[in-house]
Amino acid sequence: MNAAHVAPEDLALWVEGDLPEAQAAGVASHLAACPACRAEAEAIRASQAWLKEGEEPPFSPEERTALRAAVLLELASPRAQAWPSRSGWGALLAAAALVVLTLGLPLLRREPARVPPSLPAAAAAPAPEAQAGLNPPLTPTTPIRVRASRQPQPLASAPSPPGIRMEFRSPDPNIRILWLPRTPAGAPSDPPRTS
Amino acid sequence: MDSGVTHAINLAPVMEAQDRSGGAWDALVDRARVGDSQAFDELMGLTESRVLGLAWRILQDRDLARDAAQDTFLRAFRSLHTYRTGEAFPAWLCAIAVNVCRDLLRRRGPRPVDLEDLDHLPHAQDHPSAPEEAILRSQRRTLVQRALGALPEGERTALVLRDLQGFSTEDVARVLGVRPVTIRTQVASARLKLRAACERLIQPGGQP
Repeated sequence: MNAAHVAPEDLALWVEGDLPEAQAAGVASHLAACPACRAEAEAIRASQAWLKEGEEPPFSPEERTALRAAVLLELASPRAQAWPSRSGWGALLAAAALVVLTLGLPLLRREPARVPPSLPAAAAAPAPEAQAGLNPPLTPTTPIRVRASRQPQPLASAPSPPGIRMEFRSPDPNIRILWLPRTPAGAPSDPPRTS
Repeated sequence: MDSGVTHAINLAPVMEAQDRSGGAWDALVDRARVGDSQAFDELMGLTESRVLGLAWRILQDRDLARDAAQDTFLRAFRSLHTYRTGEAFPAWLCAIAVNVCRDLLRRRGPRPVDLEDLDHLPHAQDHPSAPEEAILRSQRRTLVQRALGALPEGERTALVLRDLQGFSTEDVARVLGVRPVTIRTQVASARLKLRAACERLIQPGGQP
């Protein structure tokens, strides 16, 4: 493109109104008389339209609710933060726990850490829970996740087989939330022992 | 070139959140600071679309984006004392989200994007009841998303904040802690790369 044309960078700014007014007017004036620059501007405008046509982020309302519930659950942990007052947390925590249990488990059950194991410890520091069995002390820079784990159990045909439990780990080692499904009346809570 | 498309992206929730007066944000933050959990829940509800969308477009990964959003809100909560009254809360929150995303990107490492892989586009046989235009639009979105993912992280973040999140150049500069001229340079470069990718991958009528 020779010097008589508008620089592509300026066209890229012009199509979205990012040039100063005087410079934008100069570009508009040039485009009126220059088919090549006009075509280039139209091409940029089209790709910008396709960019904005892009799909909505693929998160359902249930996922959003579960996300907020998981955050609230973490923040309600006694060591998670220093609220001056905790009034009002009880009801919200209960609601958050309920939401996580009913909506969020399928979302939270996956493995969150995708860090290659060869990364240096410092680089992987924000995912301390990836170290199984550790509940590190909470610090202001420690990301925390509410994670659900399912104890290895043999597959069973019943919808809620006995022996399944879901465990939420919080950063506080003293706090663990266990969810145990109610077993049908008369059903044993443990497999029958054989001797 | 005729784009042949309409702007399908729904920016209404984003704009609604952005247009809230500073006083409304400040009131919610003030309540959250003194322990009003409902206020923080409301802050999350008003901004979750923006945070999730930002993280998803920067990280190009649904699961990582969800992790990033959760970490963003946790960090934001612990940093509420640093929020200054009158500051734009969405911009303040997005600055945290960008940092969280960058941390995750550093941990994940580079992920190559194959722009030319046309085998994994949505195809009509996978969606027999969908109109042809819907399939084409879906293919186009996939290609544009890939082109976005192929941009350098800095340019991608600047472009997402400016063109998809609706921040002004000055606000993007504040969020990213750089000068506005840097944002203009990054955004212009990103738009030109995107335009080049679209020219290569998408026909003038909008057909991949």
